[in-house]
Amino acid sequence: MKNVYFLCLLLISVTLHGYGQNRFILKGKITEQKSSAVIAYANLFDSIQNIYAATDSNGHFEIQLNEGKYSFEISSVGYQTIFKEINLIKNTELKIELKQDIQLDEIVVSSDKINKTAQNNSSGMTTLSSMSVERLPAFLGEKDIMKAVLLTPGIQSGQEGARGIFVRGGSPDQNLVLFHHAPIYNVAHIYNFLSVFTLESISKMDIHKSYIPVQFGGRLSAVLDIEPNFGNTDSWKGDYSISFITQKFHIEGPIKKNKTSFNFSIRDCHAGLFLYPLSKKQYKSASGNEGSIAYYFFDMNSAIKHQVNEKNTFSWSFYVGQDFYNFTELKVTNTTKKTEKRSTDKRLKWMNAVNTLEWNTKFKKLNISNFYNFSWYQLNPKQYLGLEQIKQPSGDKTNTSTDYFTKSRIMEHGWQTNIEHTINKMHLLNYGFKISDRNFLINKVNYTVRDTLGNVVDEKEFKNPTVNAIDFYVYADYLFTWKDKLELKGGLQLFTYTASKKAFFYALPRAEIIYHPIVGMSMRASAGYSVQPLHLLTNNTGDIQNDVWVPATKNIAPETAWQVSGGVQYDHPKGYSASIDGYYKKMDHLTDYKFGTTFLSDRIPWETQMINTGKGEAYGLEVFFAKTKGQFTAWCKYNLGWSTRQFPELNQGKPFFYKYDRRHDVSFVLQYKLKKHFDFSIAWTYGTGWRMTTPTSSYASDLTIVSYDQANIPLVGTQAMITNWNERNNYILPAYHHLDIGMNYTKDAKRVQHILNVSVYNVYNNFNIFTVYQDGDTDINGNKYKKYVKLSIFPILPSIGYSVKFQLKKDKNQPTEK
Amino acid sequence: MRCIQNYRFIFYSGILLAFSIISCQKEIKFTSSYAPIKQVINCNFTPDNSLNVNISKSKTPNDFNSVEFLNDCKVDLYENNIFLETMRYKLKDTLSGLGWYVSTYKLKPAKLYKIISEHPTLGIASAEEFLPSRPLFTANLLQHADSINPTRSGKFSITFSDSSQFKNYYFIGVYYKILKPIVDTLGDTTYKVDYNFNIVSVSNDAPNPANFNRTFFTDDNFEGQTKTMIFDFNSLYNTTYKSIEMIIEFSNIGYNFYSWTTQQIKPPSNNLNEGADEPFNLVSNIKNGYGHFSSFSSSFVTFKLR
Repeated sequence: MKNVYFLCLLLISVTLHGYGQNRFILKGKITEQKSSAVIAYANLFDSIQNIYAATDSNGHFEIQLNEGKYSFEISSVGYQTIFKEINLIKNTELKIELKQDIQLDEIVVSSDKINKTAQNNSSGMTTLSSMSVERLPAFLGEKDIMKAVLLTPGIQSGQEGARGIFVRGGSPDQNLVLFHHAPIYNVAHIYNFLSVFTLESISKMDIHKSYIPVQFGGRLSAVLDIEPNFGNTDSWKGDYSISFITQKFHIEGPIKKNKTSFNFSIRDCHAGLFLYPLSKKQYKSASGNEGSIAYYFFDMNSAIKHQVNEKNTFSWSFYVGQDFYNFTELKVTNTTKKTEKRSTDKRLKWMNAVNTLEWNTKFKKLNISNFYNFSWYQLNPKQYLGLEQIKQPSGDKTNTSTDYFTKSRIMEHGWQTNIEHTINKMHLLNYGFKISDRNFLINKVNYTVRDTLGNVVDEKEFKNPTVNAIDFYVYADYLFTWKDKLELKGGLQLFTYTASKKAFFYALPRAEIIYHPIVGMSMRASAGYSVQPLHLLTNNTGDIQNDVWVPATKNIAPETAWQVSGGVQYDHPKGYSASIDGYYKKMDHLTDYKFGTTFLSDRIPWETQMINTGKGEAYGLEVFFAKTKGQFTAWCKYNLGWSTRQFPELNQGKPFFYKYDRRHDVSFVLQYKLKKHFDFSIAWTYGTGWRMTTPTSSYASDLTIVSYDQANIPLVGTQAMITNWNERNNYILPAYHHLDIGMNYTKDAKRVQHILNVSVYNVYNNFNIFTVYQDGDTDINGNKYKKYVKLSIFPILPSIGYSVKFQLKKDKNQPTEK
Repeated sequence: MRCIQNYRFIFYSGILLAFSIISCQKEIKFTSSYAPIKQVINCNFTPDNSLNVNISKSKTPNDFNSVEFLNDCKVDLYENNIFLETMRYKLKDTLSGLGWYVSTYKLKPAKLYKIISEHPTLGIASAEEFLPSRPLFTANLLQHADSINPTRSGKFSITFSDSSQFKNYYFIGVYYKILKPIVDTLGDTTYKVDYNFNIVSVSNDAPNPANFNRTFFTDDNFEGQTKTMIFDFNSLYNTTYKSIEMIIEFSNIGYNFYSWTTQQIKPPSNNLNEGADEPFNLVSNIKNGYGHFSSFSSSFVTFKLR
């Protein structure tokens, strides 16, 4: 009874207090000072009066306050915090600009600060801005955001030249890479030398690997959410840069000032200019045959944003990129009877395209975002094989040629509606739905044989039936915040997937708790269940590119995974931070090749070539230290991890280590800004070597018996040396490590800035393994023997890059700072 | 402009050349131990023939030398677990040492055969396999290429009774025996017997995804029944051949013949992935050794086409 009386008194006093004052609306927009790009989920916090607000995904905020004086601390990840004093005596609209923290926060691991929206607050989240990558050492003069991703905790590369990234023991296809909410199915150019993203085309990248927000679905390990650069709304700027392998041009600016802006960038690879003639010479000297290699790629990005009014914004982004690889060879053999010329012309083309249209509107407390996206990835291998025979001594000539064209493609249309609902400071909701329609062309093979006159003598076409797969999910995320101490977050995704007349349904819960015992410290734990309805069939040591995406069907179930993780993080106000996280992940229905399968070959139903019975387990620890303020900044990560797989059909059903089970993975980055013009950086990466299966013995046996009349006489038919192997992935190759250094020299002129970058990759010239192959050799006694040879392709690589930036109008001054 | 391009080309070429000189290929010495050397037994046997067993030594993976055949083994042959004889060694090729242990006894169908091979240093290896009976079957040639339609595909059917007594394994093979014209330097034409074994036959009842020249199947779906199967194949007809005979081989095979062969059948590779090179250990019926001890019993039907 006493409690009820007390509550009534409290309610009356609060009400009376409210009646005594006028209330006004304080609203505004927070943008980045340099590019005028909006800053989503920035925080405004008055610690004296304990008032909090956050911007929505368009950078807008709106709160109702009593008349009076306020002192707001305005902050966002990757930006310098500013303080703003406001004397609120009427409805007020502010335009606030934040400066990117270029000396600081090169990589920001989510500090789990309280007062964020339900959407962006998740543990284990890492944010990378394009600016943070600019100061890292370059590879052949080119800086790449995916290289920076590898320096963050929990993420590692497979090996030198391996495609994709590996997150917490998962495979590369388990990572969803989104460019403005559109999935990109191939993020790497040849052998992962470079990613498809130019720094100028992106604003920032959020990496989620613990609590994956419910609006993202369809992958098991991580989400890399890339926000495009929509251009500067205030002034025109651009740049041109050239390095050893690429050149690029970028321009951005306002189409209509403070209303409509655009960004455009294009990059091409000119490595082929010297690769083609050089390979021609080297091939001749190495093999005695004519041969050459050519390689080329390009990327093109464009993005436009138009603000119709305070409540409605439209944006559009587009990316297209293509790689082209060509290998030619001419082998001539002369015998007394004939001269034979065999020609090979292998052409490999792969291409990505994505396109997103976004409409964002605000309705009362709702911020509604609608996305339409289109994604496309295609792989086209072509082979032209020619055979010319000249009989001796008659000189009769015959020609046959075989054309072999293969095509594999994935095409996706998607729609997503996402609603952010800020009920009040304590209760935040995020809900919506997403539907994706994917069309898979697994393989289409055209085979044509021509005779001497060019007439077609044999022509075949084979096409695995195209598969249409639709996934649809509805989701809701709820964040409850109690004072500045505790955050509880729960989400549910109801996921349905249909392909080949088979429907799958999954309820995918996830939950997270974050506790802040003291200011700057957070203790966090999360758990989540996820599903992946498509699989990537690839290998990392075979041809240049052979990624084929296939859908889950009634015969190939979607992959699923449970993950629990927990950790502690501390951020000191002086810019030091440290964190430790642990995780355990259990995966089911993993896929692999059956023995001896070739997905792009003809007449084979692709589903019969896969095994889908795999289980996987991954667990480990991630430690991260960073110094983010001052002239000298640094960060260091250490991952300790285990990752295993088990298939009844492989390794006699026993569990085996995943190829990229990397026990130790370490990297550190040191950066130093010297005066105005120079900055230096050093990055060192170390990882336990990847695993391979080694042979134990070999023996002669019948491979298959061809001759029916001699079938009972062993070793007369087709013979072969058969190899016996040790347990799968039993051998760990030498560790992968390299030290890179970089220096930027910046010279400012009127509206023009010149930047010279000098970098050295692999300073101490460590021979990291690119691939391992078998070769024959002869010992000093003349005995022949077989050996395994490791091939390294990146020795010490010094490089120079130059870029010139221009801006038609100078940046505005900083907003009021205290 | 051209001058600049030339300079750029020379510059890039120089840099790349420098890199390629210092890039490296090095041998890896595996620290893992190699498996002990064992006997390798290779044997296919069929009814009404003597048993021919080849025995050699396995090698370490880094050994590139020729296979060493063993002639100093004591090889005993058993039928239904009853000792028959110790087989004698017959040298076929003096240079390589290739030879076989040959039985004097002619093998009979529907019997279990076992060999035990004892070597002075490599110990004892053994294997056993059931030898099935030759299958009785009828075959009909339903369609074939001819002089008017030389590219027409072929079709045939076979009918046979599956034994309910055993689990049965089968293969179907199609071959052509032809008399091929050979023109000598004097311009005279002679005819030479030749075979074409690379004929792929496929059936809905017996998928042959790898397009292998023998189609393997089991009686899983027709255990103990009379079965008719229709096969499609690429038929062959050429008017320059003096004689064309098509042979259908239908074979009842032992489990190890089926297992040994099907484990090794790979789809044709087009070098577009490494799946075909997936490390894989062949499972065989040789105890304390490698290789295979496999039985097959074939029946043939011949169609004279020209």
